[in-house]
Amino acid sequence: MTMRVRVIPYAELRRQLLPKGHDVLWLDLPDGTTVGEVIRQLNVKVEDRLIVGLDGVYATVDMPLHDNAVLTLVTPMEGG
Amino acid sequence: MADGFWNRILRVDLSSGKTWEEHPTDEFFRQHVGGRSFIAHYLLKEVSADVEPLGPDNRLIFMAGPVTGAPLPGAGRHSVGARSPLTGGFGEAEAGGFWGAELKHAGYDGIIVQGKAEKPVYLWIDDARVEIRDAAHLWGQRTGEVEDAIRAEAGDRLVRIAQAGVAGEKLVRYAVIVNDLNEIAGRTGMGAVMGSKNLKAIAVRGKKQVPLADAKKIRDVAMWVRDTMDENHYNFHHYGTGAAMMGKSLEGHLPVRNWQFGEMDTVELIDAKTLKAEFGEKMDGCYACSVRCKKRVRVDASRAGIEVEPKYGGAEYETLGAVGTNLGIDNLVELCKANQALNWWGLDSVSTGSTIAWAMECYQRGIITKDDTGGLALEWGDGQILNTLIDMIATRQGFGDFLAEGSLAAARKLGRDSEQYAVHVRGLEVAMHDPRGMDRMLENYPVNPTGGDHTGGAHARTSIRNTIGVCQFLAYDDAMTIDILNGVTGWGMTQDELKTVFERGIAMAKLFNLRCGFTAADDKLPARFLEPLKTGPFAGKPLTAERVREVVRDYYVTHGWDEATGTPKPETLSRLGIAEYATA
Repeated sequence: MTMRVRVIPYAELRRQLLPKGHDVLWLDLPDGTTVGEVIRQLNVKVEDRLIVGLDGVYATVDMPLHDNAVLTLVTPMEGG
Repeated sequence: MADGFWNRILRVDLSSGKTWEEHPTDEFFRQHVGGRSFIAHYLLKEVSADVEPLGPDNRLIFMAGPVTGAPLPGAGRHSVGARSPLTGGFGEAEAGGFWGAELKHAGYDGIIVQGKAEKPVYLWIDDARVEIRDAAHLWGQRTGEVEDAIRAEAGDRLVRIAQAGVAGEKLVRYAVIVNDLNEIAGRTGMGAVMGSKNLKAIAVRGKKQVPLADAKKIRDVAMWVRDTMDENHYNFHHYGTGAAMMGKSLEGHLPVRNWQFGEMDTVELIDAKTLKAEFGEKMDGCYACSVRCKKRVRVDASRAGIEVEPKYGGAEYETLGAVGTNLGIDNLVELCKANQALNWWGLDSVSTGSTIAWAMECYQRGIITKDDTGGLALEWGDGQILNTLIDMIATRQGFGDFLAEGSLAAARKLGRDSEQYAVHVRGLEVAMHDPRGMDRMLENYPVNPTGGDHTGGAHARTSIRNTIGVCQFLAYDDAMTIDILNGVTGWGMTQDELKTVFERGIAMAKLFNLRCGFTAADDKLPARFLEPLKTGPFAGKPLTAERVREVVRDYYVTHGWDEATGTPKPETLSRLGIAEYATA
């Protein structure tokens, strides 16, 4: 069985993971795949820490994903 | 004399109408360099404890750094200082744009203004002259109108103007100094000091090139920034600030509803990505900067009721937080209107938003009612009320007059146990970074010389950037930073010497705060941060007073200050070469 997961990268991560002009990455994954496994699979390169949201709340790497899950990827940036 | 300086400080006495120059030595510049240490020097020498912040004897000090005006990304910065009318202590704010570089190009390293003009004036500075000019026709005008008028009078579109808005004229205690309409020396009420002197604006036009010791070095760094833009400055270049608000919300430390909450599920509606997509006209930059992190936005009058013009910029993160999430507002059109209004009146978005947030929480709790507000309902999330209050504060109308004193003064005047909801450090409303979720801010706010500012620099990196005149957003590491400083000045300064400059600056600012009556008891965080956030990952994890005291004590010890009182020790002052200021 597979599940479909929507990955939304922000700012710099969007440049890394998506072609120009695209906002969302759809992934078909085996059941039981965790947040951490997706991040490793995407090979995200970040200088600082990576902030991950699952369905709009803060996520940890061991959380399992589910069909239609929304995974948000952000790196911290401040100022202004 | 080292390169990077002109050795010319312009002195202006508005009471007598006299102007003159000071020519400090190379040793003086190398000891103080710029920004904070320079400001603290003049405050310690010339502003005694009995000088009122809004009185004529206060000094208003504009100071560029050695790097300001060099042909280098991030070199558009300058500092402004005075005794703060908001906190009563050391006041300092920094700004980007073009004004600081233009001042250097006019042949000056800084300006110190004292006294008070009999009637509104503005200061004109160019390569050949300094004039105090009548500003009666500019008084009461919005910043855009003032800029247009001065440029029209000069017949020159490239005149750069630093000005007090109407909020500064009205002595709103968190009025700012506005440069180029959207670059702001924002914290600690420097615009009110300017207004108190009847000084509407300082217009500068200069055509001199700042002398550089190693022009090739500076050019190489500039090329490095340009050639590695996506590698080192992608976020700032494409979005400016505010692109990671979702991240703060996910982590649970986004300021929401006066710091009661750390999450807002609609934050995506107002972050920089949405702002740029919905209303972005272009990205713009400060002097000589290829990063160009400034959003310019336009909203049609058909959507906003009035046109939001690109010349007033676009909301930065601090504004999106302070008048957006921290008021529970997710209406981007209202926030664009608010950003424009803040910049055309000359109000600090952080202190304005935070003071309104205090009032909204008091209203939420029934401490403030419509009887106090003149019938206004201060409901969370109401963008129209926000814009109404901004106008009322800037012009000191009705309830706005009460809020124009800042959250701490308003709370003390109101009483009713409302001070616990004022989120400030030493009277300065806290910037939009929650120390419950960010250790760096826990280590900054309680000991920062100005209070609750995230850029003021209790620590070396931010402080050094402000001192030498380089933007915090540039990805220069320590080695590049000192290469830049030496490339401009030719000093051959070491990292240790530069660190001593930082230590000198914070010690001198501390001495001024002690003079103004602050004690170690004031080096703390507000009560709100000793409460847990109500939801999210930080729920149930408040900071403790003991933890804050431990951080403060460590800071005192690390910097050679008395562990109990926070007073820089005599041996520390001697080591830094500033013993004379202890009794100045």
